[in-house]
Amino acid sequence: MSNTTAVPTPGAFQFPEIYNFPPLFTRQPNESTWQEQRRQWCDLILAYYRHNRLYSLTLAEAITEPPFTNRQIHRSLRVDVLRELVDDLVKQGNASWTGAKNAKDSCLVLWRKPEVWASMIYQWANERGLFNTVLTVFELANGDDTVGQEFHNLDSVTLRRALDVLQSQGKAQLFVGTSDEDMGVKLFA
Amino acid sequence: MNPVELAPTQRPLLSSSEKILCIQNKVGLYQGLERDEEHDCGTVYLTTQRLVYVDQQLPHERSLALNHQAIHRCTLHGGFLYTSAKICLYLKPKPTNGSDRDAQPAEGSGTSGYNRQKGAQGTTLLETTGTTNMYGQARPGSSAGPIEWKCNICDQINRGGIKCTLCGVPHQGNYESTDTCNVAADTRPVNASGAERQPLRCPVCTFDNHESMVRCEMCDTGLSKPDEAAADQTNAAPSESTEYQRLRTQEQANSGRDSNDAISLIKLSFRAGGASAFYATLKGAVDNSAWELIGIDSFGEHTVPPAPLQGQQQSAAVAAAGTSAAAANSPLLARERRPTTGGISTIVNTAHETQQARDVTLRSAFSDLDALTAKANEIVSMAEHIATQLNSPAASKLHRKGAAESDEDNAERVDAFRQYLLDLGIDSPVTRDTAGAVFHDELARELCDYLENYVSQCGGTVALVDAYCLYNRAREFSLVYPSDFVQACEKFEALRLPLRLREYPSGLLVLEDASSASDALVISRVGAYIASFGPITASDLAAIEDCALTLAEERLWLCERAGALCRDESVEGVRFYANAFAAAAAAAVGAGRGEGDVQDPLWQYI
Repeated sequence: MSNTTAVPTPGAFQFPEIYNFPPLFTRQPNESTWQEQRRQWCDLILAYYRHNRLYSLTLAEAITEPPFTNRQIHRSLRVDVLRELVDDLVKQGNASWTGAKNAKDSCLVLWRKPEVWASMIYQWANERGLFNTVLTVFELANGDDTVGQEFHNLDSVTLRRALDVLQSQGKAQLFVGTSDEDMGVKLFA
Repeated sequence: MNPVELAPTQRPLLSSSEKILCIQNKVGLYQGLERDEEHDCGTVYLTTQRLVYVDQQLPHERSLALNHQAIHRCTLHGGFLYTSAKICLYLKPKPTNGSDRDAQPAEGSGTSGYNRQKGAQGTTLLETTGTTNMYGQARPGSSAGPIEWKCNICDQINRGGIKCTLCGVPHQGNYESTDTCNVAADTRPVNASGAERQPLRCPVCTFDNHESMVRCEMCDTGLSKPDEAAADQTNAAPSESTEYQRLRTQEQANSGRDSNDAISLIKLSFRAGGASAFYATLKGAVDNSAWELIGIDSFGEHTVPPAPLQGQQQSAAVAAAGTSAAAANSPLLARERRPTTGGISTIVNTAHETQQARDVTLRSAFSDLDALTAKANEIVSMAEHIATQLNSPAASKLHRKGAAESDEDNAERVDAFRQYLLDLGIDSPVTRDTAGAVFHDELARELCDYLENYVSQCGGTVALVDAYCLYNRAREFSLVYPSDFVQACEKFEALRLPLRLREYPSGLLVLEDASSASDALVISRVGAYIASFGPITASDLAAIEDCALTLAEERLWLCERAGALCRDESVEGVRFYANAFAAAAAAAVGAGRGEGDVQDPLWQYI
């Protein structure tokens, strides 16, 4: 959670009203209630992560922090419930598990899907006339040219996902360097 | 046979002292020799007073009852091949009014007085030979304590009856009574030979009372009416006693004013067996009822406990409390011995005697379990009596005046005491012996009768364990097995009774009112509590509804399953909230999505 925030947050996140409702932090045994509860959690997680421009989530650490802990009402979510929630997000395509296979202890929160990032980058390159030019990935995320763009300061893993999408669409070519930072990309019209 | 009133549970309504002796299902009726198609299959209840037929198809329309007094005799015919076992009931002919009064004294020997009196009175009986020894032989087994008296002609010692079993001479007023039994005996000669002149002269103190007096103004001795005595002398045969006379008039009054028709025959066909057991019980019951009729007559207005108890009570009384208690049991005797006392002192004495008699009953009843069983009926009626006294306005007035300092406390205690008394049991519980094959059905019906009120008082649901304890406490001695209890409860639905057995998903079994305790009602009730008290725990609900904790838990879970509540598990326990997820969904969507657009406009590029 700490490794991504480069941009200062624009004001504190406005939690929804239900955030102060204690049963939100208990997994409801009633299936239909749980469905509703799950939906609200997913919305909350995505909204929170988008607001704070957060990308990765380590379950064991996250449950002690907002939004999974509400210090006002002394409630926090249990890890297994959070895992269930992330599973649900993964199913929706809004998250993906990272780290060891089947460990399910950390994930990437894709509050904007890689396809969306990809099309943003592609549009930006189109506007700047940067097709058929090799750009470094670092340049793409942190360069002066992208300041003000949505994907400025994008998490490297997420960026890589977006570029992978472009490559699979035949709109880009990746050049592997010595490290992720060194990686180059060339976009085609 | 007469139509009969049934409880909602389709069991016959019993009178206060009536008890069910035996129950048999799948019984068909025959009127005379014809099979009665309307009453072809039903359950027959044998009680201490009646025989009740409850039809299986239309219990409320077709059910019938027959008093034991109307049964002249009964016989058993075993089944053969396709013929079911049958019990034939020969009904008594309706008596004519006094046309045959003079026919009595000369009768054959070997019958009890009661039967011969029947024989003399009734016009024609089917088989007179059968009648004679039926009552005579069955009686010694069934009646433990009829009065013993010695015939003054042949010195035969008779037990009960009005005529000597050996010589057939009616029981004279001035016979020698045997040692233990003397209740009604010694007062009779007084009545018979008493004053006949216009002012009633007291036979004891010779005071001339006004003719309208029933008891002597001076000494409280019973006075006999001049017209009654006159009737004795003119009308009856010389050997006939007043007692006998009274019996006959009583009998005539009892057996009705209907026209004098021929003997009728009713047959019970036992299609599911059980005939012989039923027959044995029926015979005993009919004999007993015959005896009770005599008992009531010979003791006059003095309250008569059931015949078997009378002897026991007397012997116990004599043994336990000596002369004073004996005097209490035969107040007339005691009063004769006492010097003339009138007015208030007599009242006080009578009250004292009653109390002593009660004391003796209590002491002997609780001395061992058998005695308690035998006296259960008496104790219950005493308890009921005390309960009514406590309820009376006089008692409450006394109460208000007497206890200034601990009024509240005292009132509570009286209430509690009253409750104990009222909780005293079921009069004739259904047992395996009496009900046989229909045991579980009958048990279910009785359970319903007993528990219905309680269940509705408890908000429509009672844990099965609570109901079991309560019911068994009410049964006093003949407790039911838990397995029988559960089986009976499972039959509620099939018998269309107003209770239901329900198993919650957690395995908790409860009895609930089929009509009132629907889930919707519970949900709305709990919803109202939460609206006024805020989120609640199971123990809160148990306190509010005054029910068991497990039951409160079940109710909350039920609401949760229905989606009306949601839970909050924390270190403080599980607390239930109104389900805000559904309600807050719209708001949450607005707040959550308004800020960041999950529905990104850039979707269009893909």
